[in-house]
Amino acid sequence: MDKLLKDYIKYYETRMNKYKGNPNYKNSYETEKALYEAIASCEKLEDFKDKVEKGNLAVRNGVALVKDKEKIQNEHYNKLKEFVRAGASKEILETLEKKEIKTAMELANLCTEIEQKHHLKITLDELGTSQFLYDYFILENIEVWQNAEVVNEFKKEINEEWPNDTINEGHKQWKEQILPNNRAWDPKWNMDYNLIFNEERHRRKIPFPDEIVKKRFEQHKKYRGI
Amino acid sequence: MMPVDKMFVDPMLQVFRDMAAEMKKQKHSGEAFDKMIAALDRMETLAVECNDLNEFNAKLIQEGLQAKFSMHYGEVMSQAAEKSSKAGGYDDNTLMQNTLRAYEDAITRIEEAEKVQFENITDDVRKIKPSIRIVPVLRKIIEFGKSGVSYPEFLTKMIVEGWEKAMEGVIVVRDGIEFEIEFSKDTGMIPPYIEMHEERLKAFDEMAKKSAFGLPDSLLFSLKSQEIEHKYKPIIAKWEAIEQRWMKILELLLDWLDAYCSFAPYDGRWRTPGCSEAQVQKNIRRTKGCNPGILKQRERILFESFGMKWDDIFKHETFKFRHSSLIFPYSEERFELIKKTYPYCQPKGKPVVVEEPPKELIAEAEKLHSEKKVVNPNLKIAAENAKKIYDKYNGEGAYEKNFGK
Repeated sequence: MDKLLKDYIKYYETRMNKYKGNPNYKNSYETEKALYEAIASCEKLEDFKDKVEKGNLAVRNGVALVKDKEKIQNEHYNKLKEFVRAGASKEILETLEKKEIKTAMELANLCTEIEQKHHLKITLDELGTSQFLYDYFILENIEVWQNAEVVNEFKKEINEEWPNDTINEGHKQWKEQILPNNRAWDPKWNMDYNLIFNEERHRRKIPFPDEIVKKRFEQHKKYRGI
Repeated sequence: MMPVDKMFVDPMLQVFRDMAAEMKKQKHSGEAFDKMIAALDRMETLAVECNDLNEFNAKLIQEGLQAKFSMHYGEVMSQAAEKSSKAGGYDDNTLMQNTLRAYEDAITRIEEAEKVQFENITDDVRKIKPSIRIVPVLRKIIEFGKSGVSYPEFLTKMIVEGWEKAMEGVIVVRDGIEFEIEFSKDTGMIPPYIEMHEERLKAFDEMAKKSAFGLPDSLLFSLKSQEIEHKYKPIIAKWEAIEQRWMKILELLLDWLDAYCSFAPYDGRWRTPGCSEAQVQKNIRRTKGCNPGILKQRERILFESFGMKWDDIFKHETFKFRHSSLIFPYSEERFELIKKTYPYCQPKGKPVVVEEPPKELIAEAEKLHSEKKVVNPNLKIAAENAKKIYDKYNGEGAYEKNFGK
């Protein structure tokens, strides 16, 4: 047997063994095994090319690796209850189940398109929580100023003017900057307090008791004029 | 309509412009090429049409333009490779030469980037720089590739030696985590943040030990890392929220006491730029008459949010850690004075009356101020440490060059 063919057989055997017994890469092991068996049964290296093309083995191998990796990612995000982040892998896996992929380029394009779409969904999902957390200390300040017992000389300034000026500035920023910026991502975007409160992926980022968070939501609506 | 500043647009689009220019030079054409150019043209148009960087960024993502460009670029390249293969242009030897040339180019790129970024980098630093550490691996790969082996022998060795994983960047990940731990410890980062990175390091080593080729699978390690960071996110958020709130309470107390001191009219807290004498006096009266009431509200919020009262602050892990760290902001004498001030900083009656703090506390505050004993002297050590570690990894003098003295 030609040395180059022998070298290639060893190479494909090494590739196959990389996944052997690894429960995370079952699909890849099967398609690597098919490639190995194809080359191991060749008498000439030229025959291998025909076998790979006939069985579309290289593309099937690529699809298998994508399936394995997306399955790992999907399980990972679901375990963390990061359901929006799990969306891309879920859609890629579902699409690969239904669709026969003919070329490597088709596979690459499919993954890129789906990931891009879900990247936008992740950004949109996180906009409200980030804004609420960013504003949180200001909401406390407004409450502090409104309720602080202060000497008469500064009563109006602290209890009324400071909170009102801050709220007016909050409305202005919301109308002129924050809302237009967020709607550049999605024209229908709105602050969704139920999402922040009920979805664990958001609620876990806010280290305050439920009752306080609910109170801050109401204050946030007033602060931003929502 | 105002175009997005070139300063932001150029770094984002230049790489696509260069790729397109190179393809034009190589005289590529066809449907995929036209679509690639159309994606770039659309990005250029949006840079002119959008009002700010956020809108520009959002539109690029919404329309998937960077991804479209890359997809069509890949298609053009793949079609060209297929054409060349059919014409007999690709064989094992060509593939080997192309692979080795790519690695040689990578070494040149890394070394040039290092030269530009870190002019004064020493050999000692060079040894521990994560990106530099990949160079010996690349040299080993090139040397093996040129030793007369066949292309499949070369590829087999890439897998067996773990070089394939090194190329995925796994080799530098461990260095990055070690740097993060060292930097965090010496600059006063909070314990859960350090524990998080220590757990990542432990996970890396465990996964490396279990792996057939001595380095963890990059995908599995990145997911494990995410899992650890996810676990620590709420812990870190709570720690920071508690610290931020008791820090505010201490600040209200010290401002209140200092407002009674003779240096107050000359202090930037009350003498803001351009303000009149009357305004300075009003600012001082405001702090004296309002801080006790504001403090009371801040204490209420700390209790409602975390069940902590004044005395609980000093027993809490967030306080104990920060107090013993190099970056606790106050000198020990000033901190003791803040604690002594607390019982007097109370709003009383209706209308509200605020009593002055005892004369001896004011005198003590004035003494600390005149002796320049108000800030923690260890803050200097923390700043020195940050500079030292930054320079260790980025070259002598890099800290001052990037952040000033």
